Amino acid sequence: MSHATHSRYSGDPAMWVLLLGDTVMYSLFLVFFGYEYRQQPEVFSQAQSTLHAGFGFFNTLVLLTGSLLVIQAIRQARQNLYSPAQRSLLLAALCGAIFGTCKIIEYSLAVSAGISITSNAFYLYYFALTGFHFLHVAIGTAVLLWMRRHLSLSQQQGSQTANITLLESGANFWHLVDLLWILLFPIIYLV
Amino acid sequence: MTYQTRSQLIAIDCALLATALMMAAMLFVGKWFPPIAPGLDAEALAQLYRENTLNYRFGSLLMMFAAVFFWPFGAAISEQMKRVEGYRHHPMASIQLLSLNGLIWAILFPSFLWMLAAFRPERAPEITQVVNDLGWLVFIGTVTPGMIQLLAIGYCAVNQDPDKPVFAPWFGFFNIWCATGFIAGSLVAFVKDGAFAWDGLISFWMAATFFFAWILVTWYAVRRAILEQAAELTAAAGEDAQ
Repeated sequence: MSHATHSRYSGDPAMWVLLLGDTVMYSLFLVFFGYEYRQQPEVFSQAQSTLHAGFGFFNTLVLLTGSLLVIQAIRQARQNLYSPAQRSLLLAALCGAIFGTCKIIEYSLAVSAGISITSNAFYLYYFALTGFHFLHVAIGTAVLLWMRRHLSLSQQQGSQTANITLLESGANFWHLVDLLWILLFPIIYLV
Repeated sequence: MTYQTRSQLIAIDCALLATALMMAAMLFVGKWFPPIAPGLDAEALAQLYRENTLNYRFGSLLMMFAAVFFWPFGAAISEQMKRVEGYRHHPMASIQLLSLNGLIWAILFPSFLWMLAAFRPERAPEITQVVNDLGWLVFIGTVTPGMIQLLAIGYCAVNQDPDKPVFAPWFGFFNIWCATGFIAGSLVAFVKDGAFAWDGLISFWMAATFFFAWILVTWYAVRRAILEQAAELTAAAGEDAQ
């Protein structure tokens, strides 16, 4: 039996355990966040107003750009355009790096304003959830670079040897990173 | 049934024994479900230890008996991982077993500390508080060895040969997901109440759900792998006899 027959799913179907699982876990985090918001609405809305929503919004655009680049890279890889695909992946990884840099600046601004993870319940959620997500971005960026390496190794061995399913799985992880941020951003920064 | 199948089945079923003993210790004997609140002041905590001295002593003892049965469980997981990796070089199987050791000590050591806290309940309350805190922080807060263990299993299972799979296809990503779920317990040292405290919705209830769900799912998946291996061994023995 060959597993090369193209499945209807993008990437390895087994990976959806991780993709859906993580989405469920973050949804639960946000439900708990909403519950505690209702326990102490003044504290939460006051603390929320001190966040720099501009950073969050900019980072949303950065991640969406990254996702577009990853989609483009997969399309290019399917057409055996390995060099452009590698360039797209590098640019997508750069989006990850920009996101991380913005996040570090945002955290530093908060710390220099005297805010820390233990200041109150809101900041605990803010630092914990964005911090867990930050970890996802770091891993996602590493995955993008690894995908790029996979393409460059395949290119050296003569084209058409890249494992598209593997690349799609990596791309799906990046889309998960993007999706989680789209869940987190409006609820933590705006609502 | 051959010796290698039977011994592996005994080892893997230790997961159920460990879970049952741990549940009994936490639910009925030690009464740590829900956990002792981290926000309790020293006097109230000392009072709790004076009232439940024997519960805590027996509960800790039972937890120690529960913890050790994770060692055979881990050995059974590694045996099956070696079918993916090979019997000469099996780094992920070794990493799994080594980091499991860390996880087991995160159950053994707190049990010992709770035993110590219940040893002299009449002592100064602040001392009981320190020992109790140490126990709970280690018990809930030790997330890193488990993460490495699950990532090792995940890496091995994701990279298995899809034409000759040892584990179910979802098993690798399930382990990677659970590894990320363990992170939920990492903030116990920062707060004494709320969802991230050691008795909170995220750090305790969600992490405990991940932990026990992981044990049961892994028990099922590895047990199935052992039985499939046994069937293959029987078939091969039949061919040899002909």
